[in-house]
Amino acid sequence: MTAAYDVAVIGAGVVGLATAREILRRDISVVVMDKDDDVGRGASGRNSGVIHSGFAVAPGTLKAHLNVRGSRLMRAVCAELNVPFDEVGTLVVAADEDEADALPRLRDNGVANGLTDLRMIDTDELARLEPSVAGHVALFSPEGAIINPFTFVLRLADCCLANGASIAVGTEVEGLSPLRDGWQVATSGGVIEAAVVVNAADVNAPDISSVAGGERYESFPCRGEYLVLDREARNVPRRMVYPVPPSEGGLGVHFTPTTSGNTLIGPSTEYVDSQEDHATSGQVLARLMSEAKALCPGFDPTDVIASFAGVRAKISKGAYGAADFVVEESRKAPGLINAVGIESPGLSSAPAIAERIAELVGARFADRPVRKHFAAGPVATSRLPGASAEGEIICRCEQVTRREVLDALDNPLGARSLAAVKARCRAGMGRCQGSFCMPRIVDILRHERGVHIEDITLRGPGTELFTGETKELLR
Amino acid sequence: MLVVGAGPAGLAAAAEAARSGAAVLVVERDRDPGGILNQCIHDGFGLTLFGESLTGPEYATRQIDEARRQGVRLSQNATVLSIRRDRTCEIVSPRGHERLRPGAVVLAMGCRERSFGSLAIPGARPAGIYGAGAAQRLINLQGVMVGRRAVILGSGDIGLIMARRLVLEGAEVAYVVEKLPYAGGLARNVSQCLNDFDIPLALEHKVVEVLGRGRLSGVRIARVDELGQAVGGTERVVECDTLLVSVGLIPENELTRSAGAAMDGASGGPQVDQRLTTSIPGVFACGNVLHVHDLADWASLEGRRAGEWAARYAREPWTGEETTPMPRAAGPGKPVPVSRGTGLKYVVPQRLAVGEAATLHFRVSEPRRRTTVVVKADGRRLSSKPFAYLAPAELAAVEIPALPEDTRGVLVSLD
Ligand SMILES: Cc1cc2nc3c(=O)[nH]c(=O)nc-3n(C[C@H](O)[C@H](O)[C@H](O)COP(=O)(O)OP(=O)(O)OC[C@H]3O[C@@H](n4cnc5c(N)ncnc54)[C@H](O)[C@@H]3O)c2cc1C
Ligand SMILES: Cc1cc2nc3c(=O)[nH]c(=O)nc-3n(C[C@H](O)[C@H](O)[C@H](O)COP(=O)(O)OP(=O)(O)OC[C@H]3O[C@@H](n4cnc5c(N)ncnc54)[C@H](O)[C@@H]3O)c2cc1C
Repeated sequence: MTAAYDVAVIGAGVVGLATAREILRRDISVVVMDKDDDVGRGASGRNSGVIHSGFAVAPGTLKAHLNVRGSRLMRAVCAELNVPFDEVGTLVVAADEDEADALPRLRDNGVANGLTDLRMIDTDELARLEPSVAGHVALFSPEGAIINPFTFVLRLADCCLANGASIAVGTEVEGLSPLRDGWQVATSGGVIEAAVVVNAADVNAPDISSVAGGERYESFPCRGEYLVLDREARNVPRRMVYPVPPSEGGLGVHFTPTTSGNTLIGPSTEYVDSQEDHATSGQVLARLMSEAKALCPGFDPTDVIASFAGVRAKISKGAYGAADFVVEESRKAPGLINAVGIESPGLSSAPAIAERIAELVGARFADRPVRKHFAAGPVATSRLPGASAEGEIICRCEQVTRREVLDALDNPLGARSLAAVKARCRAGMGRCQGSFCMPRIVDILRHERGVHIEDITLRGPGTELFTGETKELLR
Repeated sequence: MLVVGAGPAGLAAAAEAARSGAAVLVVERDRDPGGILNQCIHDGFGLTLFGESLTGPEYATRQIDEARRQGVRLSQNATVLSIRRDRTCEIVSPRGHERLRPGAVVLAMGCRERSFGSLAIPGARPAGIYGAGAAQRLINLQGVMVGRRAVILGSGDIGLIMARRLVLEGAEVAYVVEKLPYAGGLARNVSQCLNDFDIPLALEHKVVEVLGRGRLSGVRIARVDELGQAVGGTERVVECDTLLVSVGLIPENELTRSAGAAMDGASGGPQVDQRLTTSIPGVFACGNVLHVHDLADWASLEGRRAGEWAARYAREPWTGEETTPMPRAAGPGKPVPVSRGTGLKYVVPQRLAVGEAATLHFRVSEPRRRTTVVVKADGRRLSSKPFAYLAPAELAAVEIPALPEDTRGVLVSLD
């Protein structure tokens, strides 16, 4: 028998999961499917983690509306989900007088978007606020905030599960055929039926829309590469620091603190051929280093501990904000709700996108009562260093205990790769990049969770780490 | 007295301190004491300390037995999370979370490997890239095999030893790739680990990209110029499913910094005097946390000295941030700073108490033939020592006599 749901959501990133959570406020059955073996492996786990206040987006667009509303909702959603929301503030720094001309325009843009607390900062104040930054003057947005996007996605997933949703990871959607009253969804894990399909597949959303017979969208995957700095890095800013937005698109290479105390440098803006191209490249990493030096001359390249990249789901080439978000029910394929072109600030906008889609879905299920015991959010476990913490430390850099690693491994999604552990408890995220904890986690997987050596992976199937036991190759 | 870390340095410090009557607790975060030696199953340890060639675990066992005989207490699976300036140590273990304030602390946390991530080598971060030390642990202690055909990045000792290990385990080693024009490890390791096994060493080469998405499928290597930049047109792909990274060790000084000790950027460790006192009263350092040693024996010898002084301090603390001559504490004398001439990468100790002889350890920045190391105090020659050959891989030492009371500065230089 085919499993049937009221709503099938394609994509377990922030958009898919936040949407599922909103839909679940009513008595509606939901499945969220993702092709990867864990949630948040797409753009949602590969971004700056910035909740943009909304001064950079073009006024009057859907993007501006969703950004400003989303970032305001975000504070409450984070509180419900027990995700730290850190209002560190944003500075857009003009290097010289010429660049300074761009700042009032940005400020006016923000005012048009409804922001009230933007202000200009003079040279002295800039030097006082951020002594490490080389700049002339700046625009300051105190509302700019950061969150940990991994934690956010995981808590959204926990919340969906707590309210009865199914999350099917390792399930790729391969086809969508309209039924008289809904959709048949063909996946790598079998066929399901759903009355409504939400397309939150991000970089793959244009493909999903065409497969379903919906509108066609162009796709311009646009990669952003990052450098990650050690928590102990000195001469880096405490706030988010951006240059004046460059004309070729993106927000420019910027410094972003993370909620864990690290600093990100990036992202670059490069159009690539593949939606899955998460590789970093030599020239770009070198350029990040030099642009970072220009913004922050005391930045020390030996503080780099890692590099990574994410791909933006652009549907138009052009400056930041050239194309608007698409969040609507398909006219050509009714019952398909598209979230397409959700590039930055998609994370910031996610709560508002979710609200909008939940309204569209709710209209079809108007008779369904509000869920009686909606659980708004799970409660976080306490973290070291706390007074009563105990246990064996498995990850030395991030001080993660055995208990926390076991809790991470025993997640309800059954994701057991090293990346899954890392996203949940930070083991492997620190300056040694897993050299210390990886062998220890491997031991726990083998001996305490019975995972076969050959099945231990870095990031799910295809990323197997070991050939087997020692001496096997000699046989 | 509390010792952080039960490697060759910490165990030696603990045994020595206990021998002189101190009550000693060693806190070790791993399940077993022994430090990095537990995973070094090859031989060559102990020639200086025990007069015979031992494997790492044998060497560790002797030290553990000796420490136990002296009454040292060992706490395993226990991590020191922080140390305050007043020496309060915060410890977490399966037995709970506690704070101790010992009479003296010996830092012996060892070092860690510089990570692949810190090299910012482009690619899609496939599986199959390991720190050489992590691979050593996986293979030697956990019985897990990391791959079939490997490239090793960096020719430090661990990289060389792991090249041989992989071959002995039935894997192939395509290349050991080294950026410099000479190997980073000891000459005896190049001969016994590479030459004896026909493993090619590609000098003046580096890995410029890692290939593959899921599992590593190869690395792109290129020749480098004098500045370390890849030379155009010399790139080629070497197929492999494994990359072991052995590009240097970093003293593990998070705790030292958390305590606020003055650091030495050149050695990577805290600044100490010949008693191995850091800038924090009653906190001592030895072994790889102070500077990276090539031989465990040297780390242990340094540990003994740290243990001896720490025990004395615990019994009868000397005051102030400055070390004063002991045992005739003649009031706070100013420590004498040690500076180094060109061609020297670092010198330990970084400051000297007057009135006490000392051994200075140093490394050169580049290989040198027939050179003499000269130590001068205020321009006056204190001692000198000729060397037929000095390489960055080999830690060297020179002895100096006690400094006179009014010495202002000591300079170590190469002739
Ligand atoms: C470099 C970079 C920096 C950014 N910085 C910020 C920022 O600081 N602030 C901000 O607000 N926004 C930022 N963004 C944008 C933000 O990250 C995205 O807008 C947001 O994460 C999109 O969420 P999503 O759920 O739509 O996409 P995703 O997280 O990509 O989720 C889509 C999911 O769909 C799955 N999927 C795809 N195809 C299929 C299929 N056929 N079957 C099943 N599953 C499928 C994927 O596996 C994926 O998990 C950034 C983006 C990038 C790339
Ligand atoms: C991977 C590797 C391989 C090596 N191979 C060789 C070799 O083949 N031959 C050779 O002669 N030398 C080798 N060396 C060098 C040699 O082992 C060292 O010189 C010697 O081990 C240094 O001794 P140590 O006591 O300073 O450090 P370690 O042996 O590293 O011991 C430090 C101990 O401190 C513990 N520790 C650290 N932080 C804390 C904390 N916060 N709380 C509690 N405990 C803590 C660690 O778990 C560890 O057990 C190798 C070094 C490394 C890193």
